[in-house]
Amino acid sequence: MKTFKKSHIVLSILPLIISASACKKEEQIVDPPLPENELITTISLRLISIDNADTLNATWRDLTPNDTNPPDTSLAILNVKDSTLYRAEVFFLDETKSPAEDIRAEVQERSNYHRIFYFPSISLGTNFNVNITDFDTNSPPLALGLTSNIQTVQSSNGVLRVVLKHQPNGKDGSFEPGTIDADVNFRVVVNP
Amino acid sequence: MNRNQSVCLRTISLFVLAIQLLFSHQLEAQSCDLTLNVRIKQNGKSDLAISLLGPEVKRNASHPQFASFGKLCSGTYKLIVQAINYESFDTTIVLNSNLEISLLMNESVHQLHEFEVHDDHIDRTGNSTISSSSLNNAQLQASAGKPLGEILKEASGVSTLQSGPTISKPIIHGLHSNRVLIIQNGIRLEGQQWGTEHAPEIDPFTVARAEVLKGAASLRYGSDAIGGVVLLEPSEISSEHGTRGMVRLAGISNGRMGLSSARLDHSFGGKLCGMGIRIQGTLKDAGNIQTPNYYLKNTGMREQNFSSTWMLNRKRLALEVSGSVFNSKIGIFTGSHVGSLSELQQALVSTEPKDSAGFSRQIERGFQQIKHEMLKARFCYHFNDEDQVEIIYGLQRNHRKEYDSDIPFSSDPSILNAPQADFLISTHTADLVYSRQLKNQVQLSVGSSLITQGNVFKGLEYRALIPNYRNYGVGSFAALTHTWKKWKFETGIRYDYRWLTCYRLNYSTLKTFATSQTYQNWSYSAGLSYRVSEQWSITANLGSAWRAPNVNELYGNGVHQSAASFEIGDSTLKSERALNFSVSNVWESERFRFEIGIYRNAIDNFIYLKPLLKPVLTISGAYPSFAQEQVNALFSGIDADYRFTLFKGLKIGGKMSLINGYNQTTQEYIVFTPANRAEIYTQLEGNSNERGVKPYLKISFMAVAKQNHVPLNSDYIMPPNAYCLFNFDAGFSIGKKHPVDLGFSIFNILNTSYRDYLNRFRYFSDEQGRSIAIRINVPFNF
Repeated sequence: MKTFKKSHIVLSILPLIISASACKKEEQIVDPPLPENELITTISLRLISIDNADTLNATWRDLTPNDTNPPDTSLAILNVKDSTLYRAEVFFLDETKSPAEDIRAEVQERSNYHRIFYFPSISLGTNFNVNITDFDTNSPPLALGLTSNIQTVQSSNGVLRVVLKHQPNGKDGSFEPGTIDADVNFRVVVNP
Repeated sequence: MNRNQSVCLRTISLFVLAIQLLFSHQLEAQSCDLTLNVRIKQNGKSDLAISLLGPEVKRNASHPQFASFGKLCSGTYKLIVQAINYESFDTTIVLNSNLEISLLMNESVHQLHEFEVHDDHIDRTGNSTISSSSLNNAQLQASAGKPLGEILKEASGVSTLQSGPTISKPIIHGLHSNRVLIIQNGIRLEGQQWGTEHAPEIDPFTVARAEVLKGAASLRYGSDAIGGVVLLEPSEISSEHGTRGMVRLAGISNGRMGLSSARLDHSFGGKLCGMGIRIQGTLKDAGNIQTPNYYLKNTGMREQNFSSTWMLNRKRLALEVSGSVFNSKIGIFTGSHVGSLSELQQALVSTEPKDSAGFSRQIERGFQQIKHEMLKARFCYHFNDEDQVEIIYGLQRNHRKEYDSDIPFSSDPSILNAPQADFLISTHTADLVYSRQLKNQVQLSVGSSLITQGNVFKGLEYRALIPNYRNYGVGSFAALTHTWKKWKFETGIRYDYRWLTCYRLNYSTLKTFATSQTYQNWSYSAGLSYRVSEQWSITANLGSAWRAPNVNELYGNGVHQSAASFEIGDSTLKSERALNFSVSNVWESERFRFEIGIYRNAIDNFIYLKPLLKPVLTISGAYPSFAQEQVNALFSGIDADYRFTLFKGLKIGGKMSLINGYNQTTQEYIVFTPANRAEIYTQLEGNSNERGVKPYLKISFMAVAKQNHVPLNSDYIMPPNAYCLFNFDAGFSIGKKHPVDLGFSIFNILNTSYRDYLNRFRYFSDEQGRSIAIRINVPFNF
């Protein structure tokens, strides 16, 4: 009788041991980031003067966005001429992919949810003016900001802050609604 | 087998109606001058043989209703009640003071239950000297509809850490998340406790009794509980043959929440006597919560829970198999979504959230979807009256998906509808406890526990916050309880070993690499309780426990969007070690009860997020950065609780919790330490009915002080101001034969606007405004 009961206990422990040792090792397979899901690692500005005489590229890059490694801002500088009109374009890239993924298409596709804001610093005064030239499909249409005209006046120094805002269902032309997808600074030198 | 069946066929059953301490006029009662009165209520008038067996005595009495045994020494006795032609009933009584036990006798054909009666609360293998607070069924029922974290706040020394109106988790003596263990029906809840915005995955309707063990002293439940343990237990399935159940409905005005829960139990008779089954389910649906001045957009929630139990109680054997599924979808307040520091600063200066809304039940993106499945198997065997063994196995799968309000940049629809974070944690636990009643009031328990857990991450983002991992843990403990005259000693020791391997991806080679760590340490506890007089007892406990660092503390690196911070882990973190000392004093008489407890919990290598003064620059702006650091922390405080019956039917009472959290290494306070709080109430109550339910009206006033003890440079704004709330609650029963319990309560009667320091959403919005709740409980049986 006694041994029968002991075997009972053993029998009830056994499944526990089996189930504990037979776990699948799913955790050992780490999924790589999904290729279709895009990060923003890089923001570039391309400025072409109206007479096509001057082409400028400035790039703000952080290839390890989830890291404390500082971003590479050595190329995030715009050396522009005074009293010149530039056509500007902004690029949002995912350079963790090869070839680099251009996120502008998604921004364009959901243009009613996005807006790019340009804030020249106070030190630039009225010497660096950004006017957005593209619009979304709202009625009346609201500015989008992938392309713009930049008019420089006198020589000065400062910073241009570029912000990509995601404003689902709340886009009204103002900065407040929605969340920030990108927010970076470019140094600006307006040369005489 | 035959013997078991005969036990089932003709028995008397005795239910303990009340255990009352008897008054003694002598302050210093002689230890061998105790009295035990036994009162038995029965329908018939058959004479009962009532015997009391003690270490050195055997007394007999024969009376239909009453027996009194005097001049008893303190100790453990066996009470045997016998009626002609019936199997006898016996129970064990631990006598430390004069007692009167009232028993209700039923003659029926059903399973005989063995149970123990103590003169204090249920002994949990050496936990009775740990300071604790418990909530009974009535308190739990009055809180219907509230999340578990809010309900537990009723216990003194417990507060809640909130993330908006729908997510809350308990804080015990200033500690929370991984430092607090939640034991649901004998199994430690293994979800994703690490996150402050991760609420416990429990259906409060399944809880019939809740007990909070405060401080680092619980050896039975594992090493991590350096803050405390929350024990949740379901109601028992009655052993009497028949089908019964309960339907519970509640409506809550704020959020227009509708709740329904039903429970159906069946206990078998005849050959299957002792077997019972239960099915239970809960549905919950709520929309946007309203503050006094505006609605909180996207704060609705849905919950669907289901559980079932099969159990078998034979004279020596108890088996249980149960399963449960907890499903919830919780909207995250839109106004709390901040993408960067500049957005947070903008939210802080505005008085109203940027996205205000009216009422809606719709849950938009910016929500959590959680599924928690649990399977439990329990085996308990009584070898004899002294020895018993219990084995519990638990399997849990916790699948948590977090959808941000930001839609990912993609044109692929499967990505657009995918969650940003997707964690699947699977846990197996096995616990074995053997306990033995030795001679001379000594009880010994020894046990072992095994745990293994794996996490698989599949989300779009946040892969740097919690990597995939596998951990194994093994622990063993031994605990001893000794009762001697007016003294009670408890002591125990536990050893744990933990092994953790994380699997991460090298993004340039796309190869997985593993890093392993092991942790091991001892925990111990010693406690003493002394009954100074009939009314007054003093308890002291000294305990030390440890906690291994968590995966997010070791390897989490990256932006924590919901906290607008950049967190930096440290893989070299050591284990935390807590040394907790508590003393409590209870004075209890018929009209007056006063309890005061003081505690001091010193934690070495306390892991916390230290604010770094340099912000981290990311593509979405600058974030304040925080690094996981270890310091020596000290939590100390006082919990007090009193109740006073002015005259029959009118009670006043209150409680108070004072707490201080201090970082001794950097000589500053600790962030998110609960503010001091106090509550007083007045309660009018009527006579209790047959089921012990009393009609009552209760009005309470709660005051929470401003938390002035905060560290510098660790928060974006100063803690909110002090606030006071008035609440009302009432309950009564109607109908004699099929009684229905009704309840009515009003929370925040004056619709006060306030913010609480422990709500992480206090940056963005006020707390909820006035809310009226109606509850109906309809018990039934066939």
